This record gives sequence, structure tokens and C-alpha cells, in this order.
Amino acid sequence: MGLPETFLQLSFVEHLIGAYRWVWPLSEVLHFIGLALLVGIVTLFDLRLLGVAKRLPVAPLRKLLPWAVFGFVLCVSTGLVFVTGLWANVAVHPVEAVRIDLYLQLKLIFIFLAGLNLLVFYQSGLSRAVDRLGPGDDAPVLAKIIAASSLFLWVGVVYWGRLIPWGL
Amino acid sequence: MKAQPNPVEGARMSKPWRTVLIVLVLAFILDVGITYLSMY
Repeated sequence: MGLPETFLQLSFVEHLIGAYRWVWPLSEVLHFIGLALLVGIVTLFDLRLLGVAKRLPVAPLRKLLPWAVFGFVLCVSTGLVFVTGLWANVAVHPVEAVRIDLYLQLKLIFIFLAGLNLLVFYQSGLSRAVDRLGPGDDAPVLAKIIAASSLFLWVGVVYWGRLIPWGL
Repeated sequence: MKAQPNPVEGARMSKPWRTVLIVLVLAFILDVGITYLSMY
């Protein structure tokens, strides 16, 4: 494949997983807590933009965003434990897993698309427009489309993430 | 403060909830469909 043998595979993570039985399950727990924070807060925003709980103003909800970012950081760091230490758990090389696991591929694609969706939200100036929404205000149609896409994509990320073991 | 009657109560499902439901159902149809096709 032309890739170095150690690409995406970290022996110190494999050693940790092999030496301490709690490393993998603890990473799973933190992955789920991160997921709950990230997807929970994102879903709250999406629902408000779609018109649910419209009496909530949008700007104060922003205070929750750092927690969503924290959740994302938790998910990425623990996700990297699963990938870089994969061999210690299921004896599959991470590069091979990315190559053969359809569900892992779909999860990565959905995360990428959710990121792209977020980029459009900020770059288009919609985020500023949405910030001005007071109690009872309706979000612009494009913001609603972005919120619906976000909901759709994050459901997919959770779904494909759960299916990764079945694709190996 | 005087209690306000809930206009949604007893009425048909409100529009935002219909949209949310449609998005979730579509997401699951797509995801489960791909899973089914990939397994058989």
C-alpha cells in the first residue's frame, strides 16, 4: 500500500490497552459522554432553529457551545485511542480497518459533511442572523435547511459509529 | 400570572415537530437501508 507500517497505529496505545483492561472501556465511556454533550447540544440548536421551543432566544444558547466543543474533543481523542490501538483489541491494522470497514468510512464521511454544513452556517453569515432571533422569532429558511441537515447527519454519525464493529 | 391556554394541546402535530419527525424517519430509512444492502 506504500504506507509505513506504523501509520495510524501507535504501539504505546496498544501497550496501554494490552496492559490495562480498563483503558478501552473507560475510553468508550468518555466517548459516549462526549457524544451526549456534542449531539445533545447540537440537537438543541437544530430543534430551536426548526421552530421547536420557539420562545427560547438563540443568543443565550450559544453559552452551551463550548460544552459541545469539549464533547467533540472528548470524542476525537477517545476515538483516536480506538483507531491507533485497534490491533490490541481485534488484531486488525487501522489502515486496513479504514480500507474495509464501510461503516467507519460512512461515519467519517458524515462527520466531514456535518463539518461542511457548520462551515456554510458560519461563512454565509447565517449564524449572526440567527443570533438575533428573540423569543418567538422564526429562523430563516436556509438556517432551517442547515439545521435539518445537521440533525440528519448527526443521527448518521451515531448510527454508523455503533455499527463499526460489524464492518470489521 | 394568568395561565395561558396551550394552543397546540389537542390540535394536530405542530409543523416543526412534523419536520423533525420526517428528518429522523428519512435518516433511519437511509441508514437502515444501507446497512441491509451491505449485509446481504
